[in-house]
Amino acid sequence: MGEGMLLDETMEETIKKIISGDEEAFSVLVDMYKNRVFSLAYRMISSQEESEDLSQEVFLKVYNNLRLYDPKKAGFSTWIYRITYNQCVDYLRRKRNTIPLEEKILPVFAETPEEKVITREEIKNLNNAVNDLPEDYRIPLVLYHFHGLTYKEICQVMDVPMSIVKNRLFRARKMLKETLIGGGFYVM
Amino acid sequence: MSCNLYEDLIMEYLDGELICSEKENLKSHLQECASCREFLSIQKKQHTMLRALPLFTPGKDFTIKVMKDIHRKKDALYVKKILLFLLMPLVLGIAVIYLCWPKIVLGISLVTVYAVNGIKMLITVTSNWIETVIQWFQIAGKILSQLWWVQRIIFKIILDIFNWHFLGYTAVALLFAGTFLLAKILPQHKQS
Repeated sequence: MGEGMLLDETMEETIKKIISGDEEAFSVLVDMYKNRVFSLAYRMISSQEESEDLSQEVFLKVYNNLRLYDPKKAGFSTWIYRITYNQCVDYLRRKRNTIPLEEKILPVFAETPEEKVITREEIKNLNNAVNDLPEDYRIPLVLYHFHGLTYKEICQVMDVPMSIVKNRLFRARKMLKETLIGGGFYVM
Repeated sequence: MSCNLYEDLIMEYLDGELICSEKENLKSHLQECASCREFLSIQKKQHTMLRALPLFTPGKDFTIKVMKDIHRKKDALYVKKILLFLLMPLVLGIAVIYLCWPKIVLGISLVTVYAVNGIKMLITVTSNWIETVIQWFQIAGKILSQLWWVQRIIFKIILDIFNWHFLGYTAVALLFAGTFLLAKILPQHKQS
């Protein structure tokens, strides 16, 4: 789970190519990370159109600041998540979105092999429960479970101490459990 | 240790963050506590569910949009660079004018004074143009007569004193001498 501190050779090569002006390499990178960036943005913003716009801005920022990325400080995914998180926080500061997620149409899910483990109905209920969590608790949960970041990487993304990350993550799980039990999600 | 604290340990255990001694401690507690066993079971299921939840995906043309956006921003940056390149001399010019303003004012004043005097002189000359033309003819006549004498002297010197080998040196020397002579003659006539 989580990306190591060092980049693998392919990614390092891709980054070098992008820095030297290879746009095709950047397009490959966008394809690789677009679901992750968009998902996190959507979890924070709760609007398909605005999340797409923000994701575009994130990739533009990544393209412009790729020279500043230091593999010794953080993994590439962590770096991208940090940019996404900061971009979304800035956006939310400017404009608070108060429309709840349930009133909107959910965007398309990326197809994964694990999807067969739970049904569409369960996905919907779980999504609603996650999106009902307060933002401070929702983000560590999303980063840990949906994006596979470690505690340390979440600290780097959110720029908060480990104790806070752990506390919020555990609290979010307990809150989620309560919501799901209340909705009859778990049949024990 | 209360069950609340064990709940945190259970979550750390599921996240793979516990060390051996903590694991043993948790194991022995779980054997005794049904409530914590239930909590573990629910959390395990929750973990599996959350991990299985797929990511959202943006529109199909997202990558194309990003690349277009990058091209647009690049073009805008290029235009900015060109504008900067064009504006730089203008800014520099303004800076020079600002810094050297007193000297420029002095320069402009001097040029104005000379120009005014020049115009005044031109007006005086043209008002007495007939007299002036006559004077010019007189000067030209005197120059020509002087040149005739000079010519004669030159040839005499060349033929009588120097032989033809020194003709080149003499020609150069005469050129200088001629120029000097002309310079001497012309002011004298102007003064008269």
